[in-house]
Amino acid sequence: MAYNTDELNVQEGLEYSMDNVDFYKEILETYMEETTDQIKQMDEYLAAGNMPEYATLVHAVKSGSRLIGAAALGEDAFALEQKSKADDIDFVRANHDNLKAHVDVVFEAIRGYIAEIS
Amino acid sequence: MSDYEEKHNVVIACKSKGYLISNLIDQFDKDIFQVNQISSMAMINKISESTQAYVLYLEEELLEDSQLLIYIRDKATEEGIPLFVVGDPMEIESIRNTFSSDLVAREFKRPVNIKDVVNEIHKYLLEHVGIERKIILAVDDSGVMLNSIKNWLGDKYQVLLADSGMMAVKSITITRPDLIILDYEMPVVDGRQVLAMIRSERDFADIPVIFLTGRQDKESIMDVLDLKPDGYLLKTMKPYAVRQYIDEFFNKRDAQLKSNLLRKS
Repeated sequence: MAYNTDELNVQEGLEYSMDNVDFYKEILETYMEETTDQIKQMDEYLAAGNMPEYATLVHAVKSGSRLIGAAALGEDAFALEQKSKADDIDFVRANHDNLKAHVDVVFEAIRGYIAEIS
Repeated sequence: MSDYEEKHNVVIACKSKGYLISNLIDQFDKDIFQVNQISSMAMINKISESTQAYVLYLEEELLEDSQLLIYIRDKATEEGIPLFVVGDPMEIESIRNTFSSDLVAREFKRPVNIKDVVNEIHKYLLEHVGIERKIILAVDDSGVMLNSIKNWLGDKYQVLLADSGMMAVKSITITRPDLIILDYEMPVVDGRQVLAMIRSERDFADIPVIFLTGRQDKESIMDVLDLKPDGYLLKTMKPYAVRQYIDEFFNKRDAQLKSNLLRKS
């Protein structure tokens, strides 16, 4: 496998894409675009200390990650969602960059998978 | 489509009675289609006047029954009914003299996935024969989620998408949906507020709303249920489960509407 299968469970992602590889590829591309925008906005909300809006966005990252088969990233996003909802800004500040690094790892896995099927 | 509405008739011409043909018949949505198999001229009385599609499931015996093939060809030509052909490349080639290419809506060359065949026929009929589909408005701030919902339900329902609460309200004023699938957690205007807006407008108050939520704990689900939606779906549900839930929702609702109508009449 040319991609990190621990970070991207293609079998699970394909199940949510009704086993349609072309559609799954489209979803992965949408996910990367969307998550990039969401992370940018989360940076801004974190800088402004706006935890409710941060929570809404990290919730979306969690759902999107689970749908594509990136369960581990989904779990990290879930932890940040819980903490941002509890207004625990210190925890969010301490872990936000880890989430971003994890997103990059998943993106790398996605690119690897797309290259493999193209 | 509910039981009291007329179903769409599909006739499958096939001589064999094996697993593949039963699988083909089974794959058609029974809520929408009435499927009849005919295997000889003696069975042409099973062809309803309102037949909307013919499927030729080619095998050697059927190819030998030129009388039945010609009968179907003439009916399809006279009435402009789409015809679908399933067979191996040689078999399909052998009927070209009888069935001109403009008469054949789609050819499916073996080996084929029967589910794909039925989905294609479904799609063709929905697009060309004007089968009325129920309209679902999916509302979610995630494009991944919206596109997935469309993929899960789009072959059976007309799925409209809105990526924000405000977009949803705008969409409802343009096209009234039969059902709204509404994300609970969205920025700016969340699902709770969208539901309140819909319920406060007399013209839209009765549109059923099913919440889509990623939260599975009891407290969160009770919060969602407090808003009295017509149901709720978990984002962790698998596509087939979501589909089954929506199908059952419409079946129950149609049965209820029917019983209300009967009570009034």
